[in-house]
Amino acid sequence: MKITTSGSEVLRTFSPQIEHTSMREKVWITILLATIAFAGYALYLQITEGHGVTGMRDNVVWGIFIVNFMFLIGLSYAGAIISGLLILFKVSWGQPLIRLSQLMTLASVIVGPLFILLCVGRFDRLHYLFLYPRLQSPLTWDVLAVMTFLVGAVLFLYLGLIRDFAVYRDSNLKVSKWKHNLYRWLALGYVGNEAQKKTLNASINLLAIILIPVSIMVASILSWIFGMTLRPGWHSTIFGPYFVLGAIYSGVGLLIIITWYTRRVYKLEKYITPKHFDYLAYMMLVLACGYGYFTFSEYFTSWYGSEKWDNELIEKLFSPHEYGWWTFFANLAGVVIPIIFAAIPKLRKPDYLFVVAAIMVLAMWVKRYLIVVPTLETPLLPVQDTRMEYVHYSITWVEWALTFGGIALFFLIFTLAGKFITLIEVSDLKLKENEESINQ
Amino acid sequence: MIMKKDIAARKGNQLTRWSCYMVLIMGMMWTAITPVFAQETQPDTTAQVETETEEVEEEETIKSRMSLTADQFPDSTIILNGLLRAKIEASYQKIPGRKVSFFSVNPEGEETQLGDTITGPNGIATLRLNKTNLNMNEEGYYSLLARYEGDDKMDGSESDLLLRPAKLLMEPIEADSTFMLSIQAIAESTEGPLPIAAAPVSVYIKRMFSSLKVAEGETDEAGMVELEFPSGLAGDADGNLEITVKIEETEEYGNLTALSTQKWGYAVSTAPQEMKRALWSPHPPTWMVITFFILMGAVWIHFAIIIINLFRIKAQGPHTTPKA
Repeated sequence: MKITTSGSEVLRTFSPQIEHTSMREKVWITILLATIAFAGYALYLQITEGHGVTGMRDNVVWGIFIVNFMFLIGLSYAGAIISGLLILFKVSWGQPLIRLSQLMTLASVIVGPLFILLCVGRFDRLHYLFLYPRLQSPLTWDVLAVMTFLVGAVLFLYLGLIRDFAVYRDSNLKVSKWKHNLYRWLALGYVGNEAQKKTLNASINLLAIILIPVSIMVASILSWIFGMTLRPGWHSTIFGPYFVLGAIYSGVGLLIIITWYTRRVYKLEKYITPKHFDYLAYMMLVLACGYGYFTFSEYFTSWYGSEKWDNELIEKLFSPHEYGWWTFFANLAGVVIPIIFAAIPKLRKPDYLFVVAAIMVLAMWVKRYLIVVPTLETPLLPVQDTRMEYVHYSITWVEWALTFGGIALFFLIFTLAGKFITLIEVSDLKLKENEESINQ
Repeated sequence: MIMKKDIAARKGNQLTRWSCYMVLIMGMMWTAITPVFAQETQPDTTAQVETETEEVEEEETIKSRMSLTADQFPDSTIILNGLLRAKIEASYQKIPGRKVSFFSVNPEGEETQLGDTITGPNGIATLRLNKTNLNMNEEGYYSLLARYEGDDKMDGSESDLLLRPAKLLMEPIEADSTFMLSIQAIAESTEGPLPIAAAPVSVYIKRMFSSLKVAEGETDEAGMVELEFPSGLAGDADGNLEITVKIEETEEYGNLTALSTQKWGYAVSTAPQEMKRALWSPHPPTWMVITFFILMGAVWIHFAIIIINLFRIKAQGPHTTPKA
């Protein structure tokens, strides 16, 4: 199997990672597994003692589980859209980012739906969703759409990996026999002849074309779960595009974080250059402006409408005694700061962008919290004699444990992927002008 | 060279060491066992504590309250309702699952048990009996009593009732598509039947969850009243309406009730009907089903093509895979 010079260098860079597991990695994996195990204990408590161990009650029936689901599933759609566009438009600078985006998609779409399962009070009735689906319900659409998207994400990553598996198979990687056999099996006998190239490229392009609209549709369906409900702050016509844009925006933020981390840990400064961060910053800038515009439009129209329940929600969101500081943080760190850092060339440095993206991603998580919880705390029908702890939501340690368990699982998937594949495509990496393929 | 003396000394040392170990282990066992003995020899204070708790519980028994009412029917039936409540957390709550005994009391104060029943989820114990089984006193009243004996957690309570026998008669009249109810209230006395005048009469029909009042009036000096029954009410599958006429909560007669079923409503079938396709129906609109399957089908067909392509890639490769 032929490979470019850059690809060969990247393979050499990743080889130690694939061939051996250092003590540092073992400690890291142990920490992740311990966090997941602790989350498992929290889940055990939730199943045996019921949802009373969470902060979810009669009024606020959705808590941070649904927030995490929205956030992670949004990241997965973003990953698919970004990698799909980079492939379709053959963006040469984007080559090192495609694999990272695809991995981000897969890890998010695996972890995200787990949080929906955590919201389900009766696991024993879960199969009713498939036995008695109600086609008019956005919840049914979401279940089917997420499953469809999961299949698409797995296929998308795998198609991009077939050529690399052939390279690993034919390389001198010192890996165990089972790993080598697995590479050979997954490579599907790919040797890079014209017929195989044509079929593979056609498949990748076809999937990229189909996954972009699927991602947009699935993100919209998620928004319709809220948008089609007659509740203040949810019943909005712009929720579909708002969610799609928000998902891509937070996805770009996470991609900046992952790219910065991968570049630093694997010393890939030669392949992931400041130029990549510049381009990602431009994307972040455009998306931040769009997202800010949607946010402003959303609040502004609700405020001007002055409907009783909308007003109560707006009051809640902007009052410093309730969610005012959260809203301030979500908009300052989620919109204003990224625009400033992406727009001013002197501030557009990889390290700065990493910090800004990290804060922005956190702000986007907070924004989703602000979409879910304050609305549920503002019921349309006043409930008499209800307890105050039923009206106001507070996150319990069980919910935090499960949230951190989910984050740990996300990182574990990334870490384990790094033990099996190169985080940058090696088979067709062309970063230098007039680069030719060489025999590995 | 090892001397016998050295071996003996070494054995001696080993013995000493083992003895020390044994003493140490026995000491630890003794330390572990001592608290057990200590616990056994301690005076049994648990029983004392339990006795104290029982005393406290006895002091804190809940006070119950019984309320006896009666419904009289034209067929000489009386239904006795004993409502048992208890004051819990500053409000009276209905107590289900308790035995209530009903008695007839003669002028000498002797009690004859009529029967006993258990209170339902609404806290009411109901006993149906016939007037012929009851004895009137000289003034023409039935003297009745409902009693809850109480238990270790709740005090007993009782309620008595002096009930004058009476009945409410209802005659449905249908003329020229107009429905009328001719109602007569009569009290029974030792002197013969007496009309009950100026008594408020209410007419109800049974609905799904409770009764709906559809007419009301007041009896005249002859104890009679004629009430117009409204038309256009929904009945059962045959148009039947269950009509109840009541004189309620009188001091002398309790509740007087008369029942009748008339075909005065329009027929409403309760059989489940197939709802047309709609957003709120169990069946989604056709356009939604078609759109859904087109969208899902389009995506899954693409996935299928790609999976087929994977097999084609394998087939397009060499038959023997090159090894590293």
